[in-house]
Amino acid sequence: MAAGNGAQSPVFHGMSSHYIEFAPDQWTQLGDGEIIYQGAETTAGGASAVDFDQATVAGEGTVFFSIPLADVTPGTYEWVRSSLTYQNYEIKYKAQGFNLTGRLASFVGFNTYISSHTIDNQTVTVNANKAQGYWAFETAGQVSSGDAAQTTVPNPISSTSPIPAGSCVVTGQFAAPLTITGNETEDITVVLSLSTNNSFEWSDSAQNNIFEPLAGDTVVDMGLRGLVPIIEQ
Amino acid sequence: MKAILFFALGLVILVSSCKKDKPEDDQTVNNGGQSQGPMLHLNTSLTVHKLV
Repeated sequence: MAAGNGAQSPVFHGMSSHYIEFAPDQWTQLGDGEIIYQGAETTAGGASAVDFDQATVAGEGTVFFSIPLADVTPGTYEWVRSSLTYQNYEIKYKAQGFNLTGRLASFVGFNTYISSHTIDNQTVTVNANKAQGYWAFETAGQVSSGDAAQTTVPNPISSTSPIPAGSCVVTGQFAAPLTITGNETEDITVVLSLSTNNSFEWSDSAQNNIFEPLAGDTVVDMGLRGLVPIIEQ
Repeated sequence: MKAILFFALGLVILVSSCKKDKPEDDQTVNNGGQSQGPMLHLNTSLTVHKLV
């Protein structure tokens, strides 16, 4: 976390990913591995963008996507790469002396076409592409929105397999490589454990680590802080 | 005579109805018998954890 910033670990309600790839090793370039999942895109807003209307939003511990193992190329995979596009979570903040909570919808994909989205109870109509960092915040029935300047994207193999700027592709390593033989008789479950550790970060004008948007604090970074893929067989 | 005609008409409708039901029953059985084999599931976990 940069000096002068505050951060908190939000309480998640849901997330969405646009792209999931298994990479054999640290030398595998983005897109050269086994692409397990790729979400829909649209040009309704001009440039190609993630189609949020068709995005799958998954909550804690739920199945995000399933594919027949017969459709996965047999091999040994050490890394998982996931392009995150959307987060919905609760954060704590302070305003006019009161400690409060609110719900944040956070769009961290490279570019997302949003017709409308519901934060908690309020629905926001957009009908446009939104670049990485767009957020909308709901509290007490009121909605505000803005854009974060940066998005943290952990990539432990950046020296050998970098990702394009703005892609929000998070990279994580299996504790032991995942081997697909093609002869499996039972299901395999891979849990994508995403780190929410201090993942909501703001410029903290009072230097008290309390998010106070009415006192000049601004959202800086909403990127998740890591990915640990876990095999459950 | 009318009673015989009504009886015959009812019989035709009953037989016709039974013939329509049969393919639907067969279709249901076939769909239920399909299998995609073992699956790869991707689950999400959103938790606070520090990474090495």
